Amino acid sequence: MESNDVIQCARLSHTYPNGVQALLNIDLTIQRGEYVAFVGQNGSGKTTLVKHFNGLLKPTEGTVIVDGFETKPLKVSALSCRVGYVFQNPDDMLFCSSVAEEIAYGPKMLGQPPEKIQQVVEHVLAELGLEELCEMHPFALSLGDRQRVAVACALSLNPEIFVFDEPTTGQDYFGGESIMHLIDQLHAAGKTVIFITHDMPLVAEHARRVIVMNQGQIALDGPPQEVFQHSVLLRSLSLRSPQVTRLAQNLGLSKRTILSVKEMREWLENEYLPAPQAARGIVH
Amino acid sequence: MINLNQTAKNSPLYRLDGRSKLIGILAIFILAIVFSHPFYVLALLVIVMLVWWIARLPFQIIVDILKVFFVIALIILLVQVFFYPGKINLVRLSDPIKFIGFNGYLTLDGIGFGIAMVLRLFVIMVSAPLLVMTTPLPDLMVALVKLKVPYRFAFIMTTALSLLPSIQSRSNLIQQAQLCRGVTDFDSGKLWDRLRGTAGLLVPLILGSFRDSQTLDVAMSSRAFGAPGRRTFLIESHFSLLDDLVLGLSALLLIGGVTLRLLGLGIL
Repeated sequence: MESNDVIQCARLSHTYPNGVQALLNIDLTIQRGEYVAFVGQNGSGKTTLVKHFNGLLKPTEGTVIVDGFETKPLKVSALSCRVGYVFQNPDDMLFCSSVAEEIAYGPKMLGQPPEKIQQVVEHVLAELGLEELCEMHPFALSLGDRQRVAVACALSLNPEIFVFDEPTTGQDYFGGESIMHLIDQLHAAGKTVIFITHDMPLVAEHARRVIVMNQGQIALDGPPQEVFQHSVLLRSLSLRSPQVTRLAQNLGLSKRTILSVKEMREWLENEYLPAPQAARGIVH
Repeated sequence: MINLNQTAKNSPLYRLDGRSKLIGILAIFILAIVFSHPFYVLALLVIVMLVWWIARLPFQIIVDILKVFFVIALIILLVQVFFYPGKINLVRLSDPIKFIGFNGYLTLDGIGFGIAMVLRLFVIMVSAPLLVMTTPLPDLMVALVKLKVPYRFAFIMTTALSLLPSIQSRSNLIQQAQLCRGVTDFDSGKLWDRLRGTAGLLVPLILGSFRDSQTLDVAMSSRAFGAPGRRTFLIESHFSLLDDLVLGLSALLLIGGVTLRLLGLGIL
């Protein structure tokens, strides 16, 4: 039977060659289909940790098991079909002369036959709505579209797990929304999604699990509702829960954690203001 | 990878004025070019090694340079050995090939010149860190400007050096990104695969560097780079007794070397 644990880190530590200890005794399990956000200050070890999931970094102590395979003896290319990694800056990934070639590059490197590559390219283009851009040069596209192409490159290898390093950085509001919608779709399709961000409203709105990193260790781990309750601890780690969450907490409106404006409105309508319908009726 | 921007503050050379180090290194460069006899260039290399020892820089850097230099050295050696128009024939290899200047023999002076060329290049390569690794970049720029090097040129030189670590870290990041896309390796595998992998590294690296240089251009212009009038410097440099000693030794070495060369010594 297939195990439900897709990523298992046991006593994982990582020390860089310059002596900086970036991770210390991490024990972590991520299950198939989870939607996990990693948050924390710069230098807290988020990127170092997620780079262990596809073998870009190897543990200096402990083990990382991905989809049943220990990462230490495996090459990144061997893990690229299991873990898709989308970098913060899409320009670090793109270099081909057209979007279609970019998508075909990974399957080509893995030695897939031409017919299969063609199928994959067509499927990915359709999946991400990139058909119209398929002949365009990636560097002629907007940052948002380049980010979509970077996601397409990862998707072309059909991995089970997707890791996004700050997917909305540098994007305008709608660009960020569009990328997050894409990530939501991947999650809805059953993929395991892991992303790093500094954007707390984004975490509140999308993630089902939040892992807070501090000085190479996991400081908090749980659903957003639970994690954002620890406002004092979060503040001590230079993090702040979303504004609407703090507003609800400071007003003492609810015992449960409010994560979005929509939730706040629903809660106000249903519990705090018991007769909103009547009020609306008067207006109408 | 060698990090030339890591200033060795504990080195005795760190206390020297940038100008004396520049002049000293320049003297070594000139002597390396002046001599073409392997024994003379070897003697120069011994002097440079002595300075390394005094400078207390890690000898591991020389090992790293050798690793990079090995293939280049081999090519230079082979080219010189076969194509230097030598006179003392050792072994006949083939008929003369006139259009490339090969007389068909392996010659003693060809081997000697090949070794001298390799040593010459090696002397130049191991001398550069003596300056760059013991001089903070702002001090180096001031030294260049005080030696009447045009400010723009001095700025370009020091900026290029300061950008090396960021280019190196970008290169690492791009390599990681390409590995995630299924590139098997950058250093092994079939030649074609390696070439394809290299394209994936070079295109983003070069384009990214162009973008960075454009950003730097705007950042500099917005901070009055190239403003008319005479500019001032925050750092002032002064010669000490140690500088006088280094300058004196450099002058002695240079004059001695050039005199030997004029007397017909040190050449093949």
